[in-house]
Amino acid sequence: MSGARHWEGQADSWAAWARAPGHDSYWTESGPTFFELLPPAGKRTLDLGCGEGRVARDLKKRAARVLEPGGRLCVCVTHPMRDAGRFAPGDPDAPFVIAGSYFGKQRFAMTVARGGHEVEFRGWSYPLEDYARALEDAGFLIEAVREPPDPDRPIPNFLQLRAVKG
Amino acid sequence: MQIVAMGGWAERPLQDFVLGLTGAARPKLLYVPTADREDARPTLSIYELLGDRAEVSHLHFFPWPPADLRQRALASDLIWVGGGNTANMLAVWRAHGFDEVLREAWEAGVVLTGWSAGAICWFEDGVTDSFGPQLDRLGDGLGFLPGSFLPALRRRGAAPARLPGARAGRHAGRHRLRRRHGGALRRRRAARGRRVGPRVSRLPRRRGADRRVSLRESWDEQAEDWALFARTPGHDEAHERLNFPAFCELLPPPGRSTLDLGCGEGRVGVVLERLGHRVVGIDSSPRMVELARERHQAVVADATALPFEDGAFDLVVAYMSLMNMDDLDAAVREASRVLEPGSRLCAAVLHPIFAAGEWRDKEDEESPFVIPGYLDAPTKVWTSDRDGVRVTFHDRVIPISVYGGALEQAGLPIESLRESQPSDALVRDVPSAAWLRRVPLFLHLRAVKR
Repeated sequence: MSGARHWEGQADSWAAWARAPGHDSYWTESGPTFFELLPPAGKRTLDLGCGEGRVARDLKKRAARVLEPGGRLCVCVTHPMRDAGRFAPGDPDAPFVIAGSYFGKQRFAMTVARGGHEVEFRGWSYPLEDYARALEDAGFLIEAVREPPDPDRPIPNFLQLRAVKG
Repeated sequence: MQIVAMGGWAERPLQDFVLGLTGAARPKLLYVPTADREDARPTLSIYELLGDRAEVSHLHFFPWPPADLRQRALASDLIWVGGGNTANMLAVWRAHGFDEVLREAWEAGVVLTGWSAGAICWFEDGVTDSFGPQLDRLGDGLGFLPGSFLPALRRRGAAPARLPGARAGRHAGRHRLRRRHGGALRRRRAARGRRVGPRVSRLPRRRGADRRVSLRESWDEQAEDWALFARTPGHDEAHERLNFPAFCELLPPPGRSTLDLGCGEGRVGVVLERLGHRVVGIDSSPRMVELARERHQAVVADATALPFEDGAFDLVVAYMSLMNMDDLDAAVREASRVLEPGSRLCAAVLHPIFAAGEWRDKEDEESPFVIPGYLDAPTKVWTSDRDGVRVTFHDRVIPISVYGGALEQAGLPIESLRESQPSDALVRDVPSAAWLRRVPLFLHLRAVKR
């Protein structure tokens, strides 16, 4: 099943998940730090892969309106290192372990249930170089890199990039 | 008929030995710097080094050789050949028949000597970096002596090094790619002929068991050891075969002037000069700079206060040095200041993911890679002690976002980013390199000054 069809089937579950205040790390970790990365509002803004729209809603609150040529591309992805391994289950102090390889485009799929909401996450994980090459090939320069800390674990969950069209 | 092939730099006792073979009280010494592009600096250093004991003259092939080439060679007591690119040197010599002149001179009793390229050339074959930063077979030496020659062959207990023309780069590979099967390079070490291993007197050590030292002091104290590490061919395979070749792919073509930031003993700068860059190295360690000056222009300087005008360079290279900067932000800001707008900073660093973790079982290449922490991980201090070369490293875990932050503040957005992976050929030659197909060892960045 393609990623698009998968998420289409998950749309309702995802909307419930995403719209429950405080339910996931968006509210405390990836969201606040990502908005710090964004440039001031311009003319028009494209939300690429907008999902059910929560980022766009929050952008509107910040009066973001538009995008202009030569503007910025801001992305937030699961940290490539985080995608390559996992914490040993059952022990909150267990170290992070990469059992396979950090390299290569790899499919991930996992079901997470929390607070009565359940979502099956599926997608692709890439090493950092793949994101950087895609940006380079598209004529972007990476002007900011962030790895917001996870308050509970020693490995960052997210990688955020701000790129400017060169 | 006498030939003295020197693995590396000759200290005074060896110089005296070679001069003494001529039987002349003040021998006529003809210095031949073809391999080093006839660079004036090493030629001048030969005059300074030997001028008190020999009548020194030198021989240039550019723009063309002298009309009395043969006569000058035959009138000498000693022909001393400098280091550099062996293959290029032989091509020039053969174009002008100097190979035959040398044989005639040798058979007439002129003593032949030299170091590095000036040692390899006398043999049938040898190991050389003439064709790139990697080691290759030379294949067509002059053949005055049978067998092959590997310059700066290190033997336990002896201390060669200071190869004027040998290999490059500091703080580089450090993580040896263990060779489980003897490769072609190793087999070629069966060199014959008269080989003299010079001994280098080491600078006095200041190590104290309990004394805390900064990274800067640590590298200054280890300068001689580091030079042995960096200049012994095959010792730092990660640099030679994984890190430096990939890093070179990120470099822009040679331009006006290149700054080697944290140049160490000069192994990167010497290769960049061969590629056509005009290199100035800086390092905070006076001992490192002293060694680097054997190879290219270098000055002692603090990376956070460079003694150069704004925009003085169109390329800054920081090869395995940024993670040793005590103040990374200030060093990158200063690098940006001396770059002209639109030019590049190219950096190679230890990949923070690799620095942060370790293999659970170091004997099993399928072993999990365990990362206890990343954003605030402790520095790993470890010592490489192989073949009599001992160097201590301090591997700081500097997250990608910290490098990114320093570049962002300095107005240097990242244009290219690469994570090292060993090639199939490297894994074939060095099976243990397969581990590094799972976790990147090095991170390469190219940033552009706005």
